[in-house]
Amino acid sequence: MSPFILTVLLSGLGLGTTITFASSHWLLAWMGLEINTLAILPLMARHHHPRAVEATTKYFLTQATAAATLLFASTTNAWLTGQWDILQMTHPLPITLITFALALKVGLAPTHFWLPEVLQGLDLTTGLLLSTWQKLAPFALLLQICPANSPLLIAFGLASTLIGGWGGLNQTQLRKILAYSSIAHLGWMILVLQFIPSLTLLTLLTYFIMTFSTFLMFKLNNAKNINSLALSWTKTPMLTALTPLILLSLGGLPPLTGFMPKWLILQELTKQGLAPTATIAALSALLSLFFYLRLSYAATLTISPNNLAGTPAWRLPSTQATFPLALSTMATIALLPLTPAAATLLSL
Amino acid sequence: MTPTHFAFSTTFLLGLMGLASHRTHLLSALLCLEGMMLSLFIAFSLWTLQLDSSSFSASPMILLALSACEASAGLALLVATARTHGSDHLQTLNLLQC
Repeated sequence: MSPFILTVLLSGLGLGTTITFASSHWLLAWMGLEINTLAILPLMARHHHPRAVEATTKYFLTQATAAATLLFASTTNAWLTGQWDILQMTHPLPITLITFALALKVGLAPTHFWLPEVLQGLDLTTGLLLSTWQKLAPFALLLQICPANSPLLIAFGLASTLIGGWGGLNQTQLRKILAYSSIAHLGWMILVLQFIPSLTLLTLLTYFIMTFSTFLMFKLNNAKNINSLALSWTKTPMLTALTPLILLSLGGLPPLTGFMPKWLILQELTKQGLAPTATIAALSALLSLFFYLRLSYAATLTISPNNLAGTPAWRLPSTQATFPLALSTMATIALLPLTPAAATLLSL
Repeated sequence: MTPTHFAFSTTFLLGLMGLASHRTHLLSALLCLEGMMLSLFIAFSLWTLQLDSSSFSASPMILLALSACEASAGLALLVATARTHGSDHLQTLNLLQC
């Protein structure tokens, strides 16, 4: 893609998120979300491959619906309460509608059906952009509408963790597995939204770091399914040694970084008296952990002299810059001891 | 709920039902999306009357500008789908299933 067009599109993405972050009026927030959607569409469809175009079309339809519903809910709020301020939403009906619209935008269950197919149709870099950057603006809005005492959010959170766990079990395509992993992590983020919003932010940032590592690792190995991941030991043996650690950090195992948000969330849920919710969420993490373990097994425990899992691919040297991957891998594996600092910063 | 509020709410919800239940053609989904944005345009235009002040009267044009961009992006995707999948039938959009 021409560097000028790429610059315009990436600036558009940055501009959209910045507008939504900086807005206190619903119209401006909606505009930022629309600019984000419009800017990423050419990036998704740039290869003109049928799968990419289909993924772009499905993404466009869901995001446009969500944005229109968001604007309708804010218009209803204006007609019912007389003002357009984001921080002063009081009427429950618009708040519920906005939560549904933002859940559709971000890919929470039960509005998650578009995410696996859309992520499958994209190449890994655009998929990374979709999984990380496009989640920032909707979460900025979700954090600002301050839903309190909302069983709806608990229901969304539990449904997302369970569906993210069960949905990923039958997948062999890595991008679909990452989509279901995204759904599960979003469920964890939504569970604490009404109690400690800054913990939602911490979970979001930790998820960003872990997903960044995972996507870049798959990109370096040029792996799109489990069988090609099983051949990564021939291409980069050092990275293959770290691959299980990255995947298990996504699964939330101590002593890796992914455990930090889960630990703090379970602690907060128990403090709020939602012990059964915390139990169901913790058990649903086991489902996700199973398919992360399956990926780790395929990547590391099928090494020669065992039978090889797939036909050997061409072992071409990769031209990808390795510094971002190295940095995010270290962050994914080794940041758990910073939990007290994180807890203090969040004033937990 | 004022009659105006009821009118644009039902228009929007009808468009949303149409968008959610489109079955044959992609174009009908895009049309329903346009209907939804039109109902919001009407709501914004009548908001000035509700408020009895003209401080917000530029907002329908802003909404229209962005929704026109969105509609053109949707039509471009319709053309791209017609090029890669042969038509805009939704049955052909099945390349990405599990």
